[in-house]
Order: sequence, then C-alpha cells, then structure tokens
Amino acid sequence: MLPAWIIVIGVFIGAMIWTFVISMTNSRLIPIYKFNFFDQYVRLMGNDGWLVSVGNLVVFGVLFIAICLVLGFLMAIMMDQKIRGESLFRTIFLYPYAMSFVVTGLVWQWVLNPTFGIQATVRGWGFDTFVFDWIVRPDRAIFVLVLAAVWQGSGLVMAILLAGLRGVDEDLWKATKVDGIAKWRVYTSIVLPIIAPMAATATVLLSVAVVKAYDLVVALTGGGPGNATEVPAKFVMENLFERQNVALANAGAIMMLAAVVIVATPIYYARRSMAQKAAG
Amino acid sequence: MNRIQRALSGVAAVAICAAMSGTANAQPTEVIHWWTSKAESAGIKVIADAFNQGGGEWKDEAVAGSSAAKTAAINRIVGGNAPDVAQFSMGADINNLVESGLLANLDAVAAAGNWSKIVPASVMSAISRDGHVYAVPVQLQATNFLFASKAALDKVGATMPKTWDEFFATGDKLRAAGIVPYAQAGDRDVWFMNTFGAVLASVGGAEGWKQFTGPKGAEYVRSDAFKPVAEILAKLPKYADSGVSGRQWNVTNQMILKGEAGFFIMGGWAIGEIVASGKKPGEDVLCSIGPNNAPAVVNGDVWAMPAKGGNLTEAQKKIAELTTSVEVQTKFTTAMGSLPIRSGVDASGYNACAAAGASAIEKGNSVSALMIPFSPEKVGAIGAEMKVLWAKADAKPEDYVKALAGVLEKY
Amino acid sequence: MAQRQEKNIARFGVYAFLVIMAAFFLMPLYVMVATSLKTMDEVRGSSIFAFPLRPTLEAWATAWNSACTGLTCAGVSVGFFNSLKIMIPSTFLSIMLGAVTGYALSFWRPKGAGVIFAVLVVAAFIPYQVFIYPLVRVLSQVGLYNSLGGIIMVHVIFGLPIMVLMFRNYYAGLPRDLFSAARVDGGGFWDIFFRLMLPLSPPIMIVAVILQSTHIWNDFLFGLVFAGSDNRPMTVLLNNIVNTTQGEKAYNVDMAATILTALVPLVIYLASGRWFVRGIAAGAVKG
Repeated sequence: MLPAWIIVIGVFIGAMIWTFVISMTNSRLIPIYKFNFFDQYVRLMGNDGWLVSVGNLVVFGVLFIAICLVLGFLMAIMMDQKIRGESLFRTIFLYPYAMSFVVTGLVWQWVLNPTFGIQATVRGWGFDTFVFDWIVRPDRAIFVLVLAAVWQGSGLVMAILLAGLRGVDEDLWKATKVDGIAKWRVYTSIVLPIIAPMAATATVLLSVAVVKAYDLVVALTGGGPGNATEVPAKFVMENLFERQNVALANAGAIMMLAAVVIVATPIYYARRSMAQKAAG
Repeated sequence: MNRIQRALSGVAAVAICAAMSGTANAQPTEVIHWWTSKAESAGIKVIADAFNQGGGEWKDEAVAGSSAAKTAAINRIVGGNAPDVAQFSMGADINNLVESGLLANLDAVAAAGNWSKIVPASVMSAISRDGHVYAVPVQLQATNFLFASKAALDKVGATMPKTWDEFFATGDKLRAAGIVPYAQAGDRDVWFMNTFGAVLASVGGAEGWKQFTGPKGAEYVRSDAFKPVAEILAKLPKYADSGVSGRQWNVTNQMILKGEAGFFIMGGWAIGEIVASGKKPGEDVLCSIGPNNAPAVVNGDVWAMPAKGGNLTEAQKKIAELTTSVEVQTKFTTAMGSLPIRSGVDASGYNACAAAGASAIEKGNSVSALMIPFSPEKVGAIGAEMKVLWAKADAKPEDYVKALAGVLEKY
Repeated sequence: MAQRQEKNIARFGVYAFLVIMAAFFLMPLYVMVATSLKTMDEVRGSSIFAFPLRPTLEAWATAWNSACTGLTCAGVSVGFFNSLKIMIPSTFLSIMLGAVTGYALSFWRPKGAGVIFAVLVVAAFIPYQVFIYPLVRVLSQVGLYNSLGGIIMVHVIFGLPIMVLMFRNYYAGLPRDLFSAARVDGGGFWDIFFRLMLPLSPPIMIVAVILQSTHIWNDFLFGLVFAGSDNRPMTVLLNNIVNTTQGEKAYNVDMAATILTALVPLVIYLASGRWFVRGIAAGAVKG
C-alpha cells in the first residue's frame, strides 16, 4: 500500500497540481512562474483549433468505443463456440495491438489512399466508378481514423471479454439449455451482466486511448484534411514543443482532465449506489 | 509460500540492483541532433570526425524528427541534465532557453572566430540576444525552391516558368496531359506555411516580406499590395491533386522524380533526395528560387550549448570552433546539400540547385524565414490556417487575407 | 435432422464471420510483409497489394543489423536487448504493485481508498507529455536519470493506474466470503495475498501481461527521454529508421524493422493465448 500512496500523492497529484500551476502562467518553452491566472483558458476557449479538435474527439470517441465494444463482444462470442484454430484467430485479432502506429499508420495511409490503395485496386478489377476516398475528404476523414483505431483496439476488447466469458459457469449454460432459452437472450440478459466488470475495464482502456489519441492521428492524417482530424492531445503536444506554448498546452491538458472527471464522476457514483442497492 | 515470497523479493531485488548500477565513466561529449538520413549522417560525421581527431569523444545522440529531438533536448536541459550540445532551428527556438539563462554565452568564441565579419548579418542577429551570441550557426537552407520535373515539362513543351501566369498556364497544359500540375506535401502544418512563404517572397518580394514581418503586418495583408499574393494562394490548391492530406514531403517529392507531377515547392533539403535517387538537380529536376526572381527565404540550424557550471566547456568551445571553420563548412554543406553559414567556402562541389541558393544569399537577395522573426506559436498558427484553407474547396483570396491578418493581430 | 442442419448453418456463420474479420485484420500485415520482401524497385513499380515476385530477405537483414540510426549503422538489433532489459523488470514490478494495490483497495479498504482509486483513474487520462519536466527533475535529483533504473521506475509509475484499475475490478468480482473465511483463519495481509489471491489471479494476470508488456515494449517517449543512450529501446531506433524523411525512404526496410520490433509482443500473445484457458481452469471460482 505504501508505495502506491507515495506514487499517487507524489507523482500524480504533484504533477496535476504542477500542470495546473503552469497553466496559470505565461510560460512559453520552459516553466516561468509569472502568473496571469485564467488568461490561457480564455485563449483556449477562443481558439478555433482547440474547439474543432474537441468536437472531433467526441465523434471519434463515441464511434470508436461503441464499435470496439460491439465488435469485440461479437468476436468473443464467436471465439467461445469451441471453434477450431482458436489460438490462431485470437492471435490474428490481437496482433495489431502489438504494433507501433508509427508504421501501421503509414500502411493504413497507403491502403486508404485513393491513388494506390483500395480504390485503385478495385478500379483495376474493372469497377471504374468505385470510390473510396474518405481519407482525403474533410467530412469523412474522421471515420478513417475510427476504422484504423478499431482495427487496433477491438482485438483487445475481444480478449478481455473472452476471458470474462470463460469465467462464466458451465452449469449456467446447461441450465438455460434445459429451460429452452434462446442463446442470444442468454448472452444479452444473463452473460452480459456477468462480464460487465470486464466490459467496464475494456471501456476505461478504450477511453484512455481516445483521450490520448495522438500517434494514430499523426501517422495517418496529420490532422488533415484541413483540421478535420485534429484532436486535443495533438493540440497539447504541438503547443508543448513545436509551438512553444507550455502554458496553453497545460491549460488544454487540465481541460481534458476536467472533462474526464466530469464524465467519470456521475458514472462512478451511479455504479456505487447501484452496487450498494444490490448489496443492501 | 515463503518460497514464493522469497523468490519474488529476490527478483525484485535483482531488478532494482540492476537498475541502480548506472554507469558513471569518463564524460564523452553528448550531441543531440535530428540528422539521421544517409546524406545527413555523412554530414554530421564530418563534424564528429574532426572533433574526435582533436582528441574529443563525440557521443552521438541522433533522434529522427526535429520535434522528437527537441523534446529530448529541452526536457533534459530544463530537467537539469543537459547534453553538451543540442541542435535547434535558427530563430525563436532558443529564446526561452536564453531568457532563463540555460545556454552558455558564446561571445568569446564568436570574437575569436571573427564571426561578425564572416557570418551574414541576418544570421548573426538570429543567433544573438541583447548583443550576446548564444548559438553556433551550423548550416543554412533556402526554403523556397520551385522544383519542376523536366520530363513532365517536356511532355507539354513547356520550360521553367518565369512568372506565376506562366506557371498556371503550364499547369493547365500539364493537367490536360494527365499530370498533376502541383504537388503539395501535407503531413505537417509547416509545409503549408513553407508554401505560403514561397508565394509571399515571390509575389511580394523582399519589400512585401519586410512589411509582412514588420509591426504593421496585418495592415499590409489587408492592403491592395497583398492582393496578388492572396489570389495566388487561393489559386494554387486548385492545381494540386486530392491526395495532399497526410502525404509526407519525400513521398510528394517522388511524384516529381517520377514525372507524375509537374511542380513542387520545398526547401533545399529536397535536393539531397533528388541526388539520392540518381537524378541530376538542374537537369532531370529543374529548380529556381520561386518564379519572379524571388529572394531566397533562408532558415537554418544552430547548436545550442547548455551552460554547464556557468562556463562554456572546452569540448563545447571546440565544437563551436570546428563547426564554423572553413574546412568543416565546406565538407559538411557539400555532404548535406545545404548552404554555408560563413564566407570563404568553396562552392565548386555544389550541384546546380544548391549553387543557385548559395549565389542568391551571396548577392544579398535573401530574407529570413518566418520562424526567425516570429514566435513558433505564430508560425504554427499560420501553418494551421493555411492547411485549413487548402482543404476548403471554395476558399477565396479574401479568406486568406482574413485568416492571415487574424493570426498577425492575435499572436 | 432439421436441427442439425440449423446447427451447421450456425457453425458456418460463425466461421464466416471469423474469417472475414481475420481478413480485415490481416490486410495491413499482408501489405507490410509483402512490402518487406520486395526490393525497392519492386516497391516503386508494383501495387501495394501485389505479391512479391522475387521475395528477398535483404530488407530484413538490413533492418536487423545494418540500417542507420544516426552515426551508428547497426539496425534495430542493438535495441532488442535494451528493450528486454527494460520490459521484463518493468512488467513484473508494475503487475505486482498493481495486484497488491488492487487487492488492498478491494478487500482491506483502508481509509482514503476511494480517493486513491479516483486519483489513479483520473491520472490514467493525463497525457504523459505533461509529466516529463517534473519527472526529469526528480529522477536527476535521485541519480536515476539516464539509467535503466530510471526508465523502469517511470514505467512502473505510469503502469500503476491501469494495473490497479484492472486488478481492483477483478478482485471486486471475487466472492467476499473467500476473503472473510481467510481472515477468520487468521491470515495476514501478505498471507492472504500470496496464498489466496495470487492463485486466483491468472486470468487477469494474462491480460495484465499482454497490456503492460505491449505498452512498455512499444513506448517511445519515455525511452527517448529517460533511458539514456546506453539503454535505448528498439522503438527509438525504429523511429530513427522510419521517421528519417531525408533521402528516399526504404519502405521495405521500414516494414521489416516494424515487424521485427513487434515480434516480442507477438510471441507473448501467441504464448499467452493458451494461458487464457489454463489460467481460467486453474483459477475459476465455482459457486
């Protein structure tokens, strides 16, 4: 316990306070403690780039988490049907998670590029009017990000949920079979609640990936076309170093944290009161 | 049970012991830089070899990508564990480090090396703060080359354009021939900023450049004098292909090398790529510094020398002297395909494109790139605005005026 | 009869779904492998989906031991052992710390447990980048900067939120009666942890190993800033090979280097796959 306490207090709380203090200053490249209080936050709220990136993140995050959970759950169920080659499939679904996005981002860029990717190949087969140019269309590029992110993340969700499914008692299946309950109903009404803690873990992991989404964007679209795929973490990173505006970057980081707390707190309390009700 | 416990604590203890035994041998000279390609490595080797021959021990800390290298350098300098030498871009990059007293004063080296005579005045001002020198100039680059594929131009019977009208006329012919008229790199905001700089220098000239970077920049942008610049900025994207977004500059350069695209605006570093792919700059790939005999838009790289115990160390002094020597500059810039930071360098080894850049600078037909007078934040904002407008199909000249004036007033 | 037919159709559906998904997942890997087996001439001249005509391992050899990462041209092989040296202790320590903390939080519920947990969850969302300055300073002061110990410590610290979260959730799902019974039998904090909780933990351990080893192996930022040049992990070298934009990009070498860098996590996945099942068989709690 003690080391956890020390790390929590020393590093995480310390860093959060420090980040907040810097966001109250006018620091450019390195921390300088001259305070101008909430100026950076005012600037942030007036910054189109920031506002656009927040909007993009919401779209990206909702789609990414939803698709990953649904697809991951489906894959886990299919994997749980005592299939042949399970370990092969599992590895196939998991391997993207092992790869650095520095290069897989590039591969996706190739695959999605209209002039030499899928579009060109399908046209080469004779379908001359086939169009798949989302990556260069400002109104569609965000879906391309979702696609590549789902490719990377859904296997992990599958693995976590599969571990959960395997923990479900064999007797349960026998019992429901005797009662003649349809299989899909068993999955949605009985199994899903059982593996809910696993799903919660997966959701948190995915949310962390969403909030921190950076490598993917840089490797795949560079935030473009225009600012169609800019995200807050990229904004923070750019301002931290390239644009040398540490204070603004930290203000952005604090806003991200605040958003996480605002979203997480009600969920946390709702779950706790539910748990208490269940226990009481 | 105890066995497990003991085993666990044993492993932990080993891990921690292994961790603690950090090495603390004799101190080699650590140099952080982002020169990692073949040509670049050949360049940095010139300086490293010279340093090692003089009895030093060069410890190479190459990190690909300027922002990753700067991240490493800045964090270490601020965190109190500075490298001996770190590469930065010329200009505002070092401002904060200087203000916080983290960089060594190089006045003595500069005076001994007579920098005020041999280094161009614009470079001297870029490396000085309040009359003191705080960085060692390493190389210069012209950022506004207009490259053209000879093969593509031949196909439509065109030559290198002298004006923007000719440029667009040739562009129409190229498009009719199924060739992308203009290729733009799009993975980083800075490329859009770079293209903007090339257009501004070429249409507005040195005078326009001076006004844009001066105190009344926004006024200039809103004036009639800026109109032709805005018109070309709005017209250029219409001559590009749709694959700009996310495309790296070297991939874009390949389009020129393969004759898939006609024109490309990029800095002198692209020359190295042309040579590396076996083409001849000036023959297979034509180049000029923008149409309209534009001034060269020059930026460069410097060594920052973090203050260690207050004074410049011997090793730092040695590297500063070596880097600015005629011998190293000649070999270094030839290997890198860049331009020297001092006079007296033999340019006979340069290819046609590099020589054009060198002669523009020598004639004084040059301006300092935007990152020298402007803060990185301002430069970044210009790049971001240009990128957004590039992707906006119906962007008008007025949109460019509005966006640029907005940036100049805001930052 | 009809029932069996129905069953066959269902089985077919299952396999069809899995095969289609597998194709989607494998497509980028196929492009990578195919490209890594081509010569640069072929990469330039052919479609990205084309099968390599004359497969060659040249790019792999270059990526492993002669691609340049600055002045040294020794490929990613140098970083391989560094990455192992970083990954093994970091993964082990962070999982143990996470397990103990998660166990304490869910069963012992010390005062302020809720606060710790909340802070850890929120901390998981902070972009790493904002932590770097203060950490460099702290590690320099304790003399761990630029050392193996420093980078391990950083990984353990940043792995803590996710690890604690996972183990707490997992232990919270175990029946509390088990714990109460052990308490009645007079078990102490460590006793119960090692004798009761650890043997019940393999399923979550597997997931934790997968997550942590991958995160640590693929980390670039911390390795770049904290490891020091003697311990540079493979990813830093990979970045140097791949993100060098000057000169023509050797895509075949880039792809080979990427696959090489990903091999260790891939092996872990392959190996841990079986453990999923075994771990659950050993650790599942009936009733």
